[in-house]
Amino acid sequence: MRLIAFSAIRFLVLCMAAVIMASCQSPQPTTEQVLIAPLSSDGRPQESTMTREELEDHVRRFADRYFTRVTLTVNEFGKATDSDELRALMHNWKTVSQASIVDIAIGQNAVTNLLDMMVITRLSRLVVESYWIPEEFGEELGAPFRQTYLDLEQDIWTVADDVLTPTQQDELRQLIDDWYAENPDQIYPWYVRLSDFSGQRAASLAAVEQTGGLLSEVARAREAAEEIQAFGERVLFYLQRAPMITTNEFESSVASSLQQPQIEAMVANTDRFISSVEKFVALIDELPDEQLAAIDQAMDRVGQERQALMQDFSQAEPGIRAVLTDVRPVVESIEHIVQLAKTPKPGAKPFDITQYTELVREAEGTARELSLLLEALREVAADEQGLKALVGELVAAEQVIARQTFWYLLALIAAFFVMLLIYRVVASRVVRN
Amino acid sequence: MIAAQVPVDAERVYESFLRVIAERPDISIVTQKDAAMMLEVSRDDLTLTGQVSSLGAGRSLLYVWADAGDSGLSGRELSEKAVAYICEDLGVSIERVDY
Repeated sequence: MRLIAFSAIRFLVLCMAAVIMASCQSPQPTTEQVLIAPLSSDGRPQESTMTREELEDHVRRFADRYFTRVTLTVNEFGKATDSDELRALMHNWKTVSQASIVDIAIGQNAVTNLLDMMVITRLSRLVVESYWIPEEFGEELGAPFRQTYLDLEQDIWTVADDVLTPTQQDELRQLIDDWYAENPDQIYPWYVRLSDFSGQRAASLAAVEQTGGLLSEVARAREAAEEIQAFGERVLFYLQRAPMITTNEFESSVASSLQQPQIEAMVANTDRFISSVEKFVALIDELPDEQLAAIDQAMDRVGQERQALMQDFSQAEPGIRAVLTDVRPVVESIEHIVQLAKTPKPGAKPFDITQYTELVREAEGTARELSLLLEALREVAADEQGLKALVGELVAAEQVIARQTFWYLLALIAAFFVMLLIYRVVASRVVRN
Repeated sequence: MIAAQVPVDAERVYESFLRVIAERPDISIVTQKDAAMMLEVSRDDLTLTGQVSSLGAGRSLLYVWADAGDSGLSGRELSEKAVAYICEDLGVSIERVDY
């Protein structure tokens, strides 16, 4: 059995927010006394035993059932699909559903809230059946969605039995169906409300918002103290759910940012680069100790190359000197790292380059991926948002690399030097030209 | 509000809810709507509402809303206690998930 609840941290945030909200909001004005007797399908008044306060509770509880059920369905959908786009869509679906359903639930008029709940629930089911399942989800993934909205529709319509006559319920169904038939492109149902509908049926149902329909207490205006209490309950309801909504909205924003083409390319290149490094490291890791000493010798050779490279830097033409100035500090820091990473092995065999053909091939691959990565980084660095995401990715990459510090370090140094050597060749050609 | 996903038919969960309440003479039923599988109960200034809905395939969702009054408990703690009682009666274990 799974128990779904808010965390303690969220509760703390809630308490703090409650204090802030309580100090910022003023009570809503007292409801005017209105009495228009509701009519049943046979024309006779037919009161229920439900009061407006009870209806408020029912609607809020339905809101809880709505977003719990939708959240479960969306989460299961996310696990079942391989599509990143659909997963992102599901996250947004959950976020917007929660926000809009809570928005409806905290409205001042319980009957309006009920009618809007009925609208959003039936309309959600219609768009899921008419668009999302055939066009996006497919029948297998979409079937639980259909069932969820069918159940929710039945749920809220049962609550409405105490407020609307059967005729009024039929009119509302027809009104929603007609609206969707006239607006088939409206595939996002979350912001449609009864007030968006027009015509005689809509006006008739809007009147119920004031009369209270079949509710039993419409003949009495609520006292100011009751209004203040009702307002407090609405605020509390919202605040208890606000941390969850805010968290989901934040996660949706992050997910949306990471889906931008530049970020996707950068992440893909990062993954390839890390994968390449891992293969390279695995290869090194299998080498015996004496051959590792040979790698140190190779590093010395690379060090000599590095010195030559530094000389090139100082003799470079003014046209490329600016670029080289940027690279020089990096090379100097690499030199320092090489000194730290050296592990002299007395009596080691001389370095035989022919034993390391595969190693070099892997190093070349690593350098190639590094080059691709750097290219992607340049694009990402062009905008601030991308840069922030990049920092996050680099931190994650760094954490992966840090797990095998020494070998990763060695691999990166080797890869970097290969890249610099290639760079030197290119730079010298530029100078000649 | 606490929502518990229970690997048991909704009808059985609701029956368990009724059974647990029936065993507590200090708790009185305020509202009982069997069609909606909803029960509202109270004890002194404590009120608790539970509702069960079916998820199909032998699974259900148990929702509990509670006002713990001046008992010193939070509404959530009271809800969790109620869920724990019902789960014990049903013989199922609890796994907490934040969402």
